[in-house]
Amino acid sequence: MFYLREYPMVVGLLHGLLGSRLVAEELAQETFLVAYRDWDRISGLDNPRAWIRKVAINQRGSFLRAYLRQQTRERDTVARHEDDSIKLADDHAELWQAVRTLPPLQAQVIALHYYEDYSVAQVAAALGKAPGTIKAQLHHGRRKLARLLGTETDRGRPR
Amino acid sequence: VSIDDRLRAASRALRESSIAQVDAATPLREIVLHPVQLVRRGPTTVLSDPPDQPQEPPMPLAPSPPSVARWRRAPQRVALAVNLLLVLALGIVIGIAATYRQEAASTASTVPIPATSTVVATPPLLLTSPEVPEACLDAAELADEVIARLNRNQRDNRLFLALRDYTIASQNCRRAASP
Repeated sequence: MFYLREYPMVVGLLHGLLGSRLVAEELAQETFLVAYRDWDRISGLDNPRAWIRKVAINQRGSFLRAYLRQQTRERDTVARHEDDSIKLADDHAELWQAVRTLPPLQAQVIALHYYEDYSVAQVAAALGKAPGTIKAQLHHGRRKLARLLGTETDRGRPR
Repeated sequence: VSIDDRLRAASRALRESSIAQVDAATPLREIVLHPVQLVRRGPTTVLSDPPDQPQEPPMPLAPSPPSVARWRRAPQRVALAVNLLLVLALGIVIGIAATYRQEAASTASTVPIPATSTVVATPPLLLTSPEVPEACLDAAELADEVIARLNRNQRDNRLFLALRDYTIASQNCRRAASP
């Protein structure tokens, strides 16, 4: 089933960008609820997977601020009692932590390109930006991450 | 290790951990168990696979809203209101009949005291002859019949006729009972 297959992936993407499993799951559920309400149309799209990710990312941008303001107190209370993260090895967790310090567009570009394995063109389509902008954001994002983590700069080139 | 390699490795790890640690079935169960909170409009639908992917049996997520049941309850409320009105009317009929009987008793109970009687006063005798007008008895019987039909939910021509007869009998009763 589409939902069962895609839901954990969307939660992972949002977790990479937000660092909170609780908030990532809430946003993912909201995203799938939007899809559920209009599924007749969305299932007929060329790529429903991309649509889901686009909505999830956009929710992260527009909805998140108001949502977090409302939920922060409750989330903090819950987070004290539960481990509010997807468990990763320390170096991977450190890298995603660094990604979250990037400007939002750079973080989104990095997440879609690496986590979702999207090409530059696919990232550009998902975020509604020009491919050149995406290439530049990838370049700057990688450079900042390398500086933050004390790693070599990228040797690979965006596809 | 380049940043590119680290990003790829970290992304792969996050993907695998998400699939392993995130339970998609739990929120789905919540949607199935509490559809009213989450599904705010529209008919029942399912998140099945898109047409180009293999199909699996769909799972219904929400029942349709129970608006029909609300409309079905309306006649029951009307029946209840009619029942209450009939009970009220029956009470009035019985009250009028009782008043009439009491008045009849008081006029008939003036028993003359013999002149040679002793000083001891005897209490006035109360006559209890049932002087209820025939029309009131008919009205009471017809009211019983109407209530019985309403309780059995028999809303047909016989109910209409019984109601009509009851109304006429009730009016006759009132007329016969009034001084």
